[in-house]
Amino acid sequence: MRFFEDLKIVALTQGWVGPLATRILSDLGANMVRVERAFTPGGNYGNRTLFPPRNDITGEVWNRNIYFTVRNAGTRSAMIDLGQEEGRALVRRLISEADAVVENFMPGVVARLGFDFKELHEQFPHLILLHLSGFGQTGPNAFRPANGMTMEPASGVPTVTGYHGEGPTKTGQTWVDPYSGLHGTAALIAALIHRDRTGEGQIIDVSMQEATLPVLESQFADYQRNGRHQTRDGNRRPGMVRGAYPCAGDDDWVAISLRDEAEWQAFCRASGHEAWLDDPRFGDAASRTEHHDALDELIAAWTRERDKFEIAALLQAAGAPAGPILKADEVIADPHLAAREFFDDLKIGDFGRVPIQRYLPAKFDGAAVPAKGPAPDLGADTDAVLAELGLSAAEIEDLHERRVADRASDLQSDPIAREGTQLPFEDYEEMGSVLRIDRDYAPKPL
Amino acid sequence: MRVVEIAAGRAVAYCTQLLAQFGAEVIRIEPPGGDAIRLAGPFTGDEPDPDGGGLHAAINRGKRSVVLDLERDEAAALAARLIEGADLLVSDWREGERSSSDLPLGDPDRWGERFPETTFVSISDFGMTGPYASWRADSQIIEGLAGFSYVSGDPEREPLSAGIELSDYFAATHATIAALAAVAAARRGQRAHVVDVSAHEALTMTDDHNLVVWLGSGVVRKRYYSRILPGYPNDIMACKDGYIAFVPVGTGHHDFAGVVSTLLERPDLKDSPIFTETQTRNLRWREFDAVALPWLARHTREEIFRRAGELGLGFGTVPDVEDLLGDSHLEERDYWEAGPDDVRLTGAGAIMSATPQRFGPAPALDADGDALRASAADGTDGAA
Repeated sequence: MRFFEDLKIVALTQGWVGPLATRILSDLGANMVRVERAFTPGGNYGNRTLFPPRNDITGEVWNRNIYFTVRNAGTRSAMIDLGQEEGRALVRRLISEADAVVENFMPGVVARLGFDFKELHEQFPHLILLHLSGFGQTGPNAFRPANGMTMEPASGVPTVTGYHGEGPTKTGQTWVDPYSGLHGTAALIAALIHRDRTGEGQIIDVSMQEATLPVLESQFADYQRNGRHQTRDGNRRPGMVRGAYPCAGDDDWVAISLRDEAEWQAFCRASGHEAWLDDPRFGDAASRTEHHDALDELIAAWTRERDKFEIAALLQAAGAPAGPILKADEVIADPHLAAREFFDDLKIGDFGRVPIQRYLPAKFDGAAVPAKGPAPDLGADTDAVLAELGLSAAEIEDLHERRVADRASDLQSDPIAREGTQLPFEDYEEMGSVLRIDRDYAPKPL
Repeated sequence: MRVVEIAAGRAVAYCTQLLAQFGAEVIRIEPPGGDAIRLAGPFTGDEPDPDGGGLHAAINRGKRSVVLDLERDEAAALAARLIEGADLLVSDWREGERSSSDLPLGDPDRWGERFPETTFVSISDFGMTGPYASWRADSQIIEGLAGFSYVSGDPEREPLSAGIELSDYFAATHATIAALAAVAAARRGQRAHVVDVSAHEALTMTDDHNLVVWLGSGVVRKRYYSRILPGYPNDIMACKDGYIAFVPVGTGHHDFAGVVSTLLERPDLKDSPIFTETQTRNLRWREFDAVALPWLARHTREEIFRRAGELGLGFGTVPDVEDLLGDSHLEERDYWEAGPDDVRLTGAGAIMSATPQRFGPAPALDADGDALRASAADGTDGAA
């Protein structure tokens, strides 16, 4: 459902939080123009050069990156040199004809490039201008460097994430990036509804920290009302039987979460442990919580010889919540996600086609919102975007000659970038942060 | 924008909370006695009070409350009248449940015919279709299926889920985007009747790090102290008076070895491969820790931040709720909202210059019941 095909948005984005917002808006139909930097050998292209797929033959890492594809699929790439005044003027012209601008650089960076949101708002009051940053555009921490790995701790969530009695830990995903990007996306659409009615644009300031703090609302309340600091308790929750249990297989686990008496009874019966229903240690929620360690040992003794998928299916059929804990390849192969067409096969440069997840997986009257296509090659749309601004072919050619604007064919293969980003996965496997390497793995052919 | 919520857990309540913050009038239909959010606490002195819970005070703000027992046809008919005048209905969905001729919640095919002017935003664990559609789940189970917990925690121990109900918050936020997009589209003449939001998909959508490494290289990541490949240090570490996130986010410099060896007062190590070579440090991180941890243990959070800041390093704070409630940055940005009994509640997730987010008190159970039931019965819009 491309609801917003009439919208044109300029993306000045990097990392994850910004591209997440702009990919969703692009999926919803917006003409999303990413302004990207002109190429410099050995340059850091963020998502375009982070973790390139193996088997890199051409050296054009910037056009064959899966990170970049996930986060920018379906958008357009205009390579305009913001280091030159003429390039900045072109982007200002692009912005003047757009409906919105999304940026997620350190506060002050886009203003220094000549795109001060306050000035843009005065000059073009129809514009919706979205800032996304770690701590917002104002306040003493505004200029503190931030990324997903620092903002999860800064949100306070690690104070309740971790093993029982031990120190705080992050999760293994930098989820605050996408989470706060979603808040920015929602705010931009809310601003669009307002603009459709009044013609009035606005400036939106999203702080990743502030967008995330509401997930701790219960913890804030408990501290203020009762002076209690809720803390880490592994996978457990008060009143529930809840844990991750070992299964047969290579580091396989099943998650079980029994929230009430009915689910506890369903679990005992389905797992063949009716006797536990008469065990005084497990007679009610409070006693099960008190004897959770003993219960965990009993449950693990049952799960340890069984397959995680079979356990989950057996318990779910009986009304007891359980699910296999999936590895990356198992997520891709998950039959439920497949049935819901959660992944779309997209082309990754010359590497092949791979399944890429939807960024707005909601369905509208059964219709999905897939990406419009693969991620753009760097500079693929430079000429088209300039032509849409009314520049003639001769003027565009002149900009290329003076390197104000580059097109994809202007770029040279860069062995330095390629060398610098390969990861020693075999060493990681030996260390333990990689479970396994499938040496026969290959993407689907182009 | 007018929204009806049929109360159904945290994700539904937080979605309509966000819609209320964006200016929607939200009517909350609750079962007799109130819904689970009202009973979730935390309560002052642990004394249960359906109007006094901390979660209720936070995620039902600015809404109106009406009690309707939807098991009864008469009440379902009143609910249908309220829904007829709304842009959106937000609720959960379970196949076959709560379907009546007036309120075909379990039957999306009939929704558009019955309520042509109202979009039904369904938030469920696994969506309205597919083999897991009837499965039961909480956030731990969804985090497991989403590939999230497999990479969280320590390698020799069980996978770890987040200490919060993460899948609810992702589902709510996705649903808010979908709901707002549906409203914007309807006002432009393109209405979707039923929007199907799956918490499982909402969280799996964040699995970039794992999927990219598998799809690009056939490599299955495993949890390793919750680290993201590659780059070390990026852990939360203990210091003299608490914890810091030792994540040296650069401010443009590239001399990690020089800067970090200076910070740790070990300039003699600036040419050590543990400091100069990223991959060596990733693999021999324990040698790095042997230098860093004793130094951190001798310094307070404030000292570490000051010194790191002078050297152009970012680092991350690890505040607890008390730290956050007293945080000067949030204070200066006027973040907190006043709640009942002088309790602070979280504020706007987006500061909007033309349409500031709105907050109001959370309603007592059935606070607006008489007015809303009467208006539904006589066909007026019941606006507050």
